[in-house]
Amino acid sequence: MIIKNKLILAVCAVYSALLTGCTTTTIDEYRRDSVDLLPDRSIAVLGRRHTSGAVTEPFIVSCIGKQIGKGKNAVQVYSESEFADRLYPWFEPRTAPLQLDRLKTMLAKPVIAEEVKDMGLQYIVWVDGKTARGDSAGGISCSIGVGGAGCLGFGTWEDDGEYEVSVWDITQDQPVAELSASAEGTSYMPAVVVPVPLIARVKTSICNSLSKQINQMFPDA
Amino acid sequence: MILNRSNSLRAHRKCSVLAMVLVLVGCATATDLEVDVSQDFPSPLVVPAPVHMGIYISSEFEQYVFEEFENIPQKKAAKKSKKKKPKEEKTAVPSSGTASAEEEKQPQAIAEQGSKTELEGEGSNGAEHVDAAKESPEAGKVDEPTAEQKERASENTDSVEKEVKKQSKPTIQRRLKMRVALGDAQARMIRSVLPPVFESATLLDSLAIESRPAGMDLYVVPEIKRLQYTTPKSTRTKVYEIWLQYDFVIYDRNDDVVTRWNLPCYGKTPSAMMKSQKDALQSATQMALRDCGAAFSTGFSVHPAVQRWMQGEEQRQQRVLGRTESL
Repeated sequence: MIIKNKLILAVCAVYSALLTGCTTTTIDEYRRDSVDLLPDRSIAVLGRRHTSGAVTEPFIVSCIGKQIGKGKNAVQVYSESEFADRLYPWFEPRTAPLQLDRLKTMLAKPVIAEEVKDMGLQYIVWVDGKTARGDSAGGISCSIGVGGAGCLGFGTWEDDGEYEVSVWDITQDQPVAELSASAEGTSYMPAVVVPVPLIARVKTSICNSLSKQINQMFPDA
Repeated sequence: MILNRSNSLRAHRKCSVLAMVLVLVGCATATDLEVDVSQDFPSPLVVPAPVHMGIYISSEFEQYVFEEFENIPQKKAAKKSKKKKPKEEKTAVPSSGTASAEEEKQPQAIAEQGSKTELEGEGSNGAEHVDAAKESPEAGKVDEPTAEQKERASENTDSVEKEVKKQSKPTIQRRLKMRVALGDAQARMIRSVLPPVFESATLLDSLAIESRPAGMDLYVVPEIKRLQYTTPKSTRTKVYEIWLQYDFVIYDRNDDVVTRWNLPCYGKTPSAMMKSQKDALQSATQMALRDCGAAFSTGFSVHPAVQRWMQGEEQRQQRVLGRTESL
């Protein structure tokens, strides 16, 4: 019985690994200087949500934060919610600084500067962008009746992700690095009785690529 | 064997009928959102304003519930009323004179239904972008006969009957579409976020002069004026949005209004993917409340009316000091 369960789990794992759509990711990087993270210093990864259109998904932000916070070059990372709570109300969508000089003005306030010092914050990583649904084609029809239910058809759609990452050193006047990532993924869903989704993991792909790139910036951490 | 098969078929049919009924009921159910009050609002990191502020949260504010109704198609409503109350329609004609009793009862029923509700939807006719405002007392009312109709009715009895027949049909029958119980959450936000903004703050139980502490400079009474929301159905994006509009009425110690500070706040769910409508609106509302707290705590000290009052207060204190020194 246990062997059977293990077999089912293994089949499921292989199945889920194979059943993904195709994704292509492109990363552009601009680095102004070498980025040296001082010992015992930390990073905050935040998403841009300052306008109605700016809807950086929390998934991407938390995913990048987690990836940076683990692995070979692991650094201490503040989650978005923890950071926003500790520095409330200065990093809400309404009040968050869009430029570094605005951050400097903010840090001139002793109450904020003291809290930032307590947190040991050195870098802020801003993530701005979103993944949008692109072209789609095909169709699936499902029906339910007394005898049962079933679907028939084939659907395909594209997801396009465009993200920009800006790394701020809070002691400098300019961003120390800027990255842009774009990814395209095509998902498929054939349906013969049961729909089988082959989803392109665009967000995960972008998260992995960006995190890898950011981690490389802190070689001595 | 055949008997077993027929039994299983019957069970199967029952199950599928039940499933279909559940699906239909699910489609017709209103969204009832009790905004989560378990989440703490962080204390704002601001330099406290040199003011002893009283904060009064009215019971109306604390019990605030937003309700929005949608109209049921006329034909369905008429059919239902014919089946249920055929006699009432006839007897209602002479008693009301100009309009049927049923029509008069309807707004009353709605008023009773929404007695706890301060704001109601503006009759959006199924539109997903919804706006409810206190300033719109007409929002919850059902169409009433116009003055012209009344005149005609008194002149001609035949036309009265026709008019009454038209009006006796329940033209609008409404069903609850959205309910957001915001009162507790917004009161919690006020209690958590506002006190640290001032050097000293007191939560007032009432506005009576005897219940106010000595040395209180100002007191603030928050009022909610408007709630609006959008869902992906209307915007065709994966975003749920909430707008809240508050009036923070600030009074001085003589009960004179220093300012009626109008504060719009906004919250949205960055992604509605894998979230139910309830969860998405919940997090959008939480964001909007946080935004309100942020706007108040960063804006109070720089508000022109508050600054003017502070300057005036400074001058008054200097005058008082000058007098005591001269004495």
